[in-house]
Amino acid sequence: MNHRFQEPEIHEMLRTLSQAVVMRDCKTVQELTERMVDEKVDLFVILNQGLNPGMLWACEQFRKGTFHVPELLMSSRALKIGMNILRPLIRDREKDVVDRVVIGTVKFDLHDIGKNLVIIVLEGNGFEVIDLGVDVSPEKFVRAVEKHEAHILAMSSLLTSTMGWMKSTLELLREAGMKRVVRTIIGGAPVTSVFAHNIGADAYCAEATSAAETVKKLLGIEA
Amino acid sequence: MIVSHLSTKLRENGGITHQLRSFTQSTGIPLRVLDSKGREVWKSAICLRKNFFCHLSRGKGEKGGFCRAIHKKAVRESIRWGEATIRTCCYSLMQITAPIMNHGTLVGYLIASPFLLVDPSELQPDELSSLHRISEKKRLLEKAILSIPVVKDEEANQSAKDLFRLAEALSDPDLSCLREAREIQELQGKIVDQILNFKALDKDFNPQSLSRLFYEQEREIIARIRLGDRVGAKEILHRLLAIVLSEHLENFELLKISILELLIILTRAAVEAGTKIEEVLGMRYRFITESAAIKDQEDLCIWVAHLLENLMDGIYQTRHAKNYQRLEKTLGFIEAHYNESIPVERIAKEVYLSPSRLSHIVKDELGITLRECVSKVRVDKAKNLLKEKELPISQIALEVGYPDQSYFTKVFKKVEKCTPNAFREKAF
Repeated sequence: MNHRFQEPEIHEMLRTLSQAVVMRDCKTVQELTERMVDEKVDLFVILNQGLNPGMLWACEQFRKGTFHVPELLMSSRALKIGMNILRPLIRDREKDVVDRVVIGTVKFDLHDIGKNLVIIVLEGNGFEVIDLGVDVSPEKFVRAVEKHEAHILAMSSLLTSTMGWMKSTLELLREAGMKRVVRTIIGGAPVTSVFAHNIGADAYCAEATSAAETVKKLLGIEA
Repeated sequence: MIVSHLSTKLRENGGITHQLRSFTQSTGIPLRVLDSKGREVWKSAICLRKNFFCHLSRGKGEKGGFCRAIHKKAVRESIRWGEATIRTCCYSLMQITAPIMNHGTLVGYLIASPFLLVDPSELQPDELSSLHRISEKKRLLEKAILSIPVVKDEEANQSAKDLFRLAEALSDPDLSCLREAREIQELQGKIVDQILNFKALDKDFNPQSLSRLFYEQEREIIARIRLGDRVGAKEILHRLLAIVLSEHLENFELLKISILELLIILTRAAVEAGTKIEEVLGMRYRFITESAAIKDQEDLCIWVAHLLENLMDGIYQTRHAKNYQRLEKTLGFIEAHYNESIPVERIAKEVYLSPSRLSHIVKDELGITLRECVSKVRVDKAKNLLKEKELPISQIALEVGYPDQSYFTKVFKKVEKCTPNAFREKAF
C-alpha cells in the first residue's frame, strides 16, 4: 500500500466509516470515503473493512429489533453514497474480467440489503453483475440467464416462506436445459448448506463478504 | 357495495375523519384512504394543493399504474406481517401503508405519503433520476419535492404504529385477523434466529450434525416440559423447528412427518409430566386429521407452537397450583444465583419453606432431587460456555459455581455422561 497514513490511523478511519454507516451519517461517509480514495487507500480495504462491516452491523440491529425499517433504509443509503464513489474506480481497475453474474431476491421476498452487499463484493472483485432486484419470479431468472449468457446465477432469500422459490427456479432452469450451463449459488439468513445440497444448488454462500471467494471457487478461478 | 361501505363509514363516523385529519396535522404527512381498487375515498386537505406531489407525478400512462402496483405490493406485505409497512415508492420517496379489512377481506388501505427521511437538498442525483423520466413536468416536480415533509427515523416508526391504529378503527370488526399473521411471522423470525445461531456455531453444517443436534435438543425439551419450564421449552422448540426446517424445507411431505415426530416427543413428555394419556391421544388424532388441510410450513410450525402452549397449560392445571408457584420461584432463584454457593437451606428460606418440605415438593413434582436440579442448571450454563469460548475448564467451573474443578468434572459427567473436555471436542 502506498498511501501516506500510518496503520493505526487507517484503522481509526475505517472504524469511523463503519460507525457513520450505522449512524446514517451520509456526510461523514462521503467525506471519509473521498478522503481515503484521494490518499490511495486500497479500494477493497475501504469496502470490506469500512463500509460493509457497518452495514452488516446495522442489519444485525434490525434483526434484534433495535433498528426499524427507516433506520435500516438510511444506513443502506449511507452505504450507497460510499459505494457510488468506489464503484466507478473499481470498475476501471478490473476491466478485463468478463464473468457475468445474474442476481436477484426470489419471488415474494422484498429484502435487498444482503443481496446488494453481495453485488458490491462481486463488483469489487471484477465480476459483471446483472441485478434483477427483488420479488423475481423463476421465469424472470431463467430469461435473464439466457439473455445475458450468465456464468453464475445467484439467488437470495431472507424468509423461510420464500426459500421454496429457489427450488422452483432451479427446476425451471433444469427444464430449460440450462442447469449445466450456468452455476448456481444461493444465500440468505435462513438458507443453509444442507438446503443448497437438497435442492441441487452448486454452492451456498454463508456471508456477503465471502461471495467473491465462493463464486471464484465455483468457476475454478484462482482466488 | 364494498366502496360504499368504506365511504359510508367515513361519512357517518365523524370521529374517524377527525382522527385522520389529526394524523396529518401532527406528522405533516399527507394521508389518503383508498378502496381496494386504488380509488381515493378520502384525503387530507394537503392533498388538494396544486403542488401535491402524488397527483402531479401521476402521469397519464405508465406512472399512475406503477404507483398502484407499488401500493398493492405494500398492502400485501402489510397483511403478511400484520403491521403497517414503511417503503420507498417509485420516486424514491417514503410511504407508509396499512390495510383496511372487513371480516378478513381487504376493502381498502391507508397510505401516508410522500415524506422524506432526509432533507430534499441532500438527495443524491440517482435518487432524483426517476423524476427526469417524466420530462414535461420535471420542473414542477422538482419544486414540489421541496414541499415534502421531512420526518425523523423514530417519528416514522411512531407514524407507522399510529397509521395501523387508524386502519384498525376503519376495519370491521378490527384487524385482529392479522394478529395470527403477526404471530406466524414472529415465530418464523425466531426460527431463523436459531438457524443463524447454528450456522455461527457450526461451520460444517451438515445432515449428520443436524441429527446429532436434534437428539440433543429432543432430550432437552423433554426435560424442560417435565420441569414445567414454559419459556425454556419454547426456545428449544424454536431450535427443533429450525433443525427440521433446515433438513426438509424443500420437501413438504417429509417435513410433515418430522413435525409429527416432534409432536409425539412433546406429547410423550407431557404424559411424563402428568397429563392424562387420553388428552394426549386426542391431540395426536387432531393433528393427523387437521394436518391434511395444512398447506405450508408456516402453518405447520404455528400448529406445533400452539400445541406446546396447550400442553404446558395442561401441565400447570394438573399439578398442584400452589406447589407450582413455589417451584417456579425455586427455579428462578437457582437460575439467578447458580454461580454462587446455594445450599438447600438458602433456597428454602427464599421460598418460605423448610428445607425438607421444599426437597419433598421438588422430588414429587420434578422427579429429581433439589441438588440434581441445581447441578442441571449449572451444567447447562457450563455447556454454553464450553461451546462459545475457549475458556479453561477451571474457569468455567468457577463461573458456574464450582470452586473445585475436579468436583465440577464429576458433576458434569454424571449429568451429561461425558467429561467437559469430551463435550467441548464434540461441539467443535
